[in-house]
Amino acid sequence: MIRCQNLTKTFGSFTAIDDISLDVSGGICALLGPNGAGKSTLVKMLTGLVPPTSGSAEISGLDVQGHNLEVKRVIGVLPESLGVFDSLTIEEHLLLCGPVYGLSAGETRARMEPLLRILGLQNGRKTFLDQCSHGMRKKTSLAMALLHNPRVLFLDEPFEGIDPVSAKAIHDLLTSISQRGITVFLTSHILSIVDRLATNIMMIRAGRIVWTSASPGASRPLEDIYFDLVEAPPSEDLPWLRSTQS
Amino acid sequence: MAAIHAILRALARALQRDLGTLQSIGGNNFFLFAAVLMLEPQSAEFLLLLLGLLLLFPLSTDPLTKIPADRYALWPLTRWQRFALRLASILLSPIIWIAVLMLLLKAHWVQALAFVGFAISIQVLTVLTRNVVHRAPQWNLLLHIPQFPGLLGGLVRNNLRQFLSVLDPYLALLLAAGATAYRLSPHPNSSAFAIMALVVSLTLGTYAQCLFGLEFGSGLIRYRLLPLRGWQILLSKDLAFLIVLTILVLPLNPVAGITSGLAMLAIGHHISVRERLPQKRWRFTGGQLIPAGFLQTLGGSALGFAAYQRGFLYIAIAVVAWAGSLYLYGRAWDAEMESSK
Repeated sequence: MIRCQNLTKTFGSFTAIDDISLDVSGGICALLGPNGAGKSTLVKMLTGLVPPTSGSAEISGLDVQGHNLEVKRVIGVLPESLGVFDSLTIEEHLLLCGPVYGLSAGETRARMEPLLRILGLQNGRKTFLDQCSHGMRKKTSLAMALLHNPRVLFLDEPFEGIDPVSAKAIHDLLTSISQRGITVFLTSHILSIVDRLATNIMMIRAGRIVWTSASPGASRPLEDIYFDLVEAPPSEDLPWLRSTQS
Repeated sequence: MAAIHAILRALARALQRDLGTLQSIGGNNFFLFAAVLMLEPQSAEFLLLLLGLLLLFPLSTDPLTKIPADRYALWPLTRWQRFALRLASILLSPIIWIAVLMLLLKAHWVQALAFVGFAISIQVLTVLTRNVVHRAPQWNLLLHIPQFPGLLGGLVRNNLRQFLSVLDPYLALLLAAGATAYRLSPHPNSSAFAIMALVVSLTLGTYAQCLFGLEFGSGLIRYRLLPLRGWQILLSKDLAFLIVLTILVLPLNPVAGITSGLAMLAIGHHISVRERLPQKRWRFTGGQLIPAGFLQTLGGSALGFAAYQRGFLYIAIAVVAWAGSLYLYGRAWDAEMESSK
């Protein structure tokens, strides 16, 4: 479903993605890594938002660069910047997307209702996006990604800023759709959720995949592997926080 | 004292930046038109009065609202410090400066006071409206814009709301309302309606140069993710523009107004796609005055007037020019999106 060969992206002298090859077919694949590791750049390249400096990517057998429009029809994306319009309400975003992806008005409404219910957006459905919390904006973007029943779903940090009830609902939803054959590719910082949800985990550091769940030693706790391979927490102290004076 | 001083400095900086956004009017076609009319000041008086009236809305904003309410409430300030801040912030208001300027220019103090009172009442009206809409969203008229049919219906609704969140359509509305009222006079001159339809189209014309001016990061990403061609995205923008224009010129002279509007769009696409000039809500839009604004004003008015006088041929020229521009700049948009990746 998702295949890339020797993908590289450079911005001037900075290499954001360094010769990544991967093949994901089915299940939920999670990409872990610190800020600036290249997670979002990789998602942007796989969804056609950023062209690679070298290498190639395919989604459902379609070349991402050569069949841009066809690829857009089969994928659902929760982008880093969410891709929402401030002057539309939550439900109007879904009413906009349905026809663009070829759904009738009736079908769009029929799909919209349960989506809004599951994602806890029902009460705020008539709220303009510029008046919504970050979590609601993110859930709206997720609903837009799911509405047209995509074959491949790309989610850039879907759980960050989401309340626990909605996070559980999204977790269950993703598990259920992946069991129906939809490939889910997500990035996250939240190790506990990824550990429970993903069928395939990859860690990225400085633009390179440094570990996958198929690697040896995968039985160790995910947190230990992450701190060893990707980023250990700093141990520096802030002495002025111990002072009684402000 | 240091705390008040620091807050006032930050407030002054924020106000200065905010006033800077009003400079967009310098790139507005209507400003060009009013400037030409200034050669005979009496003719420009009414137009400048309308312009000034609309500018009072952003100018009369309470300077203290620049501080986020929660942040202001959290700061450890005494009651006296808050009182001092309230008083000092009033002095930062542009309305007070204008009143002082009026006094310096030897206006009577009653006039200066009346001006301040008028500005305050505008501000009270704005705040009241905002509060009502916040508490009862059904009173937000923009919410009642329906979903248009078809593939682009949702985008047209979004674009219509964006268009109605800049000041240009409201100035055009005042002009159209004034001209419509003129119909009720005993012997209206029929050519005046065609000319006023052209002025309305010209007032909206700058927006045709900045169709993507209110799309920031998030909206642009969505356009790139939707399975649509550039011309379709541009068409959804144009339809919103033409809907507003048609409503406003309908009681005047739709043939002249819409023909002129199509020419404005045909020329404006170039700046909209190539430059993507950023705009701010509740301000007049600012485009490229020379040559685009000049060409829009000249070309739009000439074609619109010719269509009014000679009919079909000139309407057809405007339609062909618009359709050609839509196709060309739709392709340019696609290429631009590819290259900006």
